[in-house]
Amino acid sequence: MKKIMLSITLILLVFGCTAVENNTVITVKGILVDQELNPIQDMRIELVSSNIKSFEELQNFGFNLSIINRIDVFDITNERGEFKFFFPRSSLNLALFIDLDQGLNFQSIELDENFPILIVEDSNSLDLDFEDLILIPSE
Amino acid sequence: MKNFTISVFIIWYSFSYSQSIEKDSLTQRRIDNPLAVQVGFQGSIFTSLDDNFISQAYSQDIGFNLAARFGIKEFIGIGLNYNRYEFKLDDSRFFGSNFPTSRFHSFMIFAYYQQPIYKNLTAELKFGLFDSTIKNRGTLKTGNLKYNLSGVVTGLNMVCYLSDKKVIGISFGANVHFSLSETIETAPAEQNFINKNIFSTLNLGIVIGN
Repeated sequence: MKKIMLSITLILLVFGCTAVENNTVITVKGILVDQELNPIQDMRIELVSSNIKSFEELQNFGFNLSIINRIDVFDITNERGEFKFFFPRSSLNLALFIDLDQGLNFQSIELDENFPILIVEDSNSLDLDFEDLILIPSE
Repeated sequence: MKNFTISVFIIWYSFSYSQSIEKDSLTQRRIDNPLAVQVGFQGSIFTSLDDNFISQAYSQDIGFNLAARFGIKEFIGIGLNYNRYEFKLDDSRFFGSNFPTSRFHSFMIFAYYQQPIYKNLTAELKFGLFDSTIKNRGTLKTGNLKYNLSGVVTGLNMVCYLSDKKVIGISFGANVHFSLSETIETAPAEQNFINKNIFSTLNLGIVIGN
């Protein structure tokens, strides 16, 4: 009886850890542009999972590399500045990330603070189209 | 006595006659037994025939194919087929390092028509339905990820038998799979890209039958 209970607990634990949803593919896409709205070509942009869930949390804690987990999903923008990612719908918090050595940040509309990371706040939506994302030089 | 002798003769004759008929018919049936049961073991190559999800996301590799056929020899019948391949993610835009390996397996049921072409060479045309799964094995953090695809399949198979008895043969065939389902839930703009895939399996191996 104990073995059965232990097995059930283990099974629940393993399935409880499952973060992805079978038979779903979300798409995350957008266009990287400069401040004059010209497309930025050959820019490496990554999809990462993040420990934080919202822009407010990012403002409170600030950005450092420890808040992101690299999952090796990236794209290089084409001549129209477009990028696209495919990922299963999941319970992971997703974010877009511009590598620091590329010297650019995502421009924040509301505040002066700009970060190399853009938190995807509805990251389980099937179709995440960011359209134009303005990048500005980082300080 | 005479009646008895005649009766015995008639009974014996009828008995032996019926025996010989039975024997002949059995022999006949064994030689011309039209029912065929055949199994095949084949190495297999997976090839995408369009530029959609499977071809962009994965690099495809060799695998194996198992087949069984039940029907009327060199005529028609139904068959079952199983394919399995090991895939790897081949594009940084898809899924990433959380899913290091992927296994593709596919079941198919088909109806076939066989036609002897030349001596021991037989051609087979088939149509059927398939149901496939790509199981992406994930890390403990994410868990596994499964995609199901289903649709119709058609194929041509050639068998060159090694003897006139047609017990063992070398088989070469190609199946083309048209994935028509919308089983993978995705953004409306990507429905066709993700769900509608065309791919082919090329199989080379042996078949054994009665």
